[in-house]
Amino acid sequence: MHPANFAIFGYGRPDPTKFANDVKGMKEMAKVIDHYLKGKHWISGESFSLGDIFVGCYMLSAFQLVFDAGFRKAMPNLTSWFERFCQEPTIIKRFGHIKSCKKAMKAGAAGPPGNAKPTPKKEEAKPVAAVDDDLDLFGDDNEEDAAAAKAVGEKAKAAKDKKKKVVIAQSLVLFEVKPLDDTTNLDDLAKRILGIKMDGLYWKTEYKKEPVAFGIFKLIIGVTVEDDKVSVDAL
Amino acid sequence: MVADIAGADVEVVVSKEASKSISGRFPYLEITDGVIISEAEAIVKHIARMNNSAGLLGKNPFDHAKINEWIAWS
Repeated sequence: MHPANFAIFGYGRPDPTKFANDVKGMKEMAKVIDHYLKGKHWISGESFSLGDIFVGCYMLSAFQLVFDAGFRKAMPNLTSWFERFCQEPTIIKRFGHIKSCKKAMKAGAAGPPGNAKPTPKKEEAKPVAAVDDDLDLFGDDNEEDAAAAKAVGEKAKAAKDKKKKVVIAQSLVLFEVKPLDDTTNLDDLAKRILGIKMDGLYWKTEYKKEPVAFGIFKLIIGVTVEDDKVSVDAL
Repeated sequence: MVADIAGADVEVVVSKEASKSISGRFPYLEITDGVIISEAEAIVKHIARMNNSAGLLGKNPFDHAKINEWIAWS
């Protein structure tokens, strides 16, 4: 996946200039392949090949997130190739019916849903690697998640300081756990998270799974903490 | 997906130890007991080559090279 797509899902530090450059780079790549595909049915000519699978999978997220109708029109060869790709029975079997986006998404647009409307009592957590002993599940993402976790921690701390006068301040924290790929068993992970016990820490008994993209689900899990007893940083 | 087109019967297992592969990471392909190919690209190319009639790697060396070119590009 192209870096711009990670930004749309809220990974990394928000950087509008970098995002704009990434999107530009993605569109430059589209121009290259559009030019190459002129007069061709598939990448290697008449028959569907491994090349179509690799480039197609790369372009999947680009068409779903960034290449809007206007841009697709400007890339006629690429767009018609991609439409053929989406009609292939094996592609439908693996990904279902792929829909291209109407409008290009912006950085963070597919990130945590609650982020747009923060309420005073609620603290929304960004993608966070939930617990230390689960870090292995996130593979290469460790650094990013750790950075996000740090940012959330600071945010939570600031919010907590404001509430110091309340007798028993409680915060509702929502954790969103995004796995690296679709092979992580979220139910098992949820059980392990719910297994963490601390004084003043009350997990919600329910958690939900929401689709992110390409068969990957994120885990949303809620917890109530008594601010004086438990620091979100500790989680 | 590649296995589907090439008609190969591959089972995806994620619960095993990854230490068998050269990088210590998934995925790896276990062909017969103890015989392993790791790295995603090597695996899909092997599966694609198992059934040449599916044409996933092109008809001739030039097609093959062009396919590899776009795999490297993406």
